[in-house]
Amino acid sequence: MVSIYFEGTGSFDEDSILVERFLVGEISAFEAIYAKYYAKVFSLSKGVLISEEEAADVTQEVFTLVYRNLHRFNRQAKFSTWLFRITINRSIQESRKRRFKHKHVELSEAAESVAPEMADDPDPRIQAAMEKLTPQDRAILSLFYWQEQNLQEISESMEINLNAAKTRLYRARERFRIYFEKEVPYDSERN
Amino acid sequence: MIPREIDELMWTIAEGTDHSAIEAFGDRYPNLREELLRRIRTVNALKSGNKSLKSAKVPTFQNTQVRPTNRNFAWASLAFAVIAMFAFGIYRSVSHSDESTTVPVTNIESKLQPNASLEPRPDRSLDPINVPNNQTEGQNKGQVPNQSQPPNFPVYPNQPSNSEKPSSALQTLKLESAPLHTALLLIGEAGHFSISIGPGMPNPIVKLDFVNMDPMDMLKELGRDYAFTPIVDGPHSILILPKKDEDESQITGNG
Repeated sequence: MVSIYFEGTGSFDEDSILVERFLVGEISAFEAIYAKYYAKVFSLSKGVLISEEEAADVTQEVFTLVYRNLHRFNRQAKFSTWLFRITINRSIQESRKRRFKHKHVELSEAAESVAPEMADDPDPRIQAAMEKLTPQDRAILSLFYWQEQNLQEISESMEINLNAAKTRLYRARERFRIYFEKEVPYDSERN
Repeated sequence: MIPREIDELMWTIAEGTDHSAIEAFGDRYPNLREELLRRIRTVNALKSGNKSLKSAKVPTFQNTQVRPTNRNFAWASLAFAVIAMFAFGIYRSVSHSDESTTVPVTNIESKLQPNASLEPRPDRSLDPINVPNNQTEGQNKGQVPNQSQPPNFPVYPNQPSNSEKPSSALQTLKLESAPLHTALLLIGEAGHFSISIGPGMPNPIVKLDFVNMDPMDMLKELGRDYAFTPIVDGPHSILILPKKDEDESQITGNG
């Protein structure tokens, strides 16, 4: 039996219990973490990388990193915040490495993607606007709108202070709006 | 220009789902109603950009290798290359030390043929033009010099002279210190050709360290260091002449 005490938060949640169980050798606890967070990590990574195939690769790498480094999780923050921080860092790193690749991906290659199946294809106009943003902008928008993190959590996930998180979110949203309205003019939709 | 407080309020309302707040804002700021609707549309687009995964499609976790970053990969490649070169060097030196026939003289290490011996070859004249007498005597007699004497003896293979031909077999020849002329004669022996040294050739003390090399290439390399040109002077004869600038293009032989 594992006794759990969390000095940092003063409380425990399901994630903390799973983490502790894994750290004492219960592999099934990691499988539970993986099943719970796979979609979120994939979604966040895809938000930054756009490419589903690359997001799938990065998601596997993120969970590999977590599997090997979970003992380093210091429990000062929520597990999900730590996990999203790893995801964002790894995704931005990957996007820098492959930022020119997207433009040259053949359609046939895209069709052979082994990425997980999505429920629906997202609106291509939204995709087009997102593609014009920087990976950092996409990361903060993904955290706020897709992972529904608040500004405090975003600041921890992105390792920036609260005001910076607020400013960056504001600017990223404005930039998205500019690109999105170029893709979908407001007047045309009203008519 | 929208005041900052109004701007933030508009985003807050756009991100909420409170229709009464939207109506109240529109009533209070009718000129900003259109702008508010645009922001609501932007927020809806952002929120709808995320489509959930089909739950059944989550792949099985595989504890795979994390791809190294470019810098890590470069360092790993460099380290691997250095280790590989080091290992190959050790392998080569060990294998050569097993294979080579070492002449039991302190400052000469020569590997010519597996059946090489120290017996003088009576049918082979070295034609030591311009080679000092104290060296040629030793060569012709097949004497083994001590440390005070220059290493001026050849190592003859046990083959009849009529079967000789210029050899392109790779040879190992190491010499701590010897006059250049002696070194040339040794190389000639290794390659089964006679060496004729032309007039005006200097005779400095040289060091040889050729490993697995064609004797003709040894001559060329030595020629680059000591300014002479080896010229093929017949089927079994090489003429060594001091190099002049225009000789560069006259280097003949295997190359």
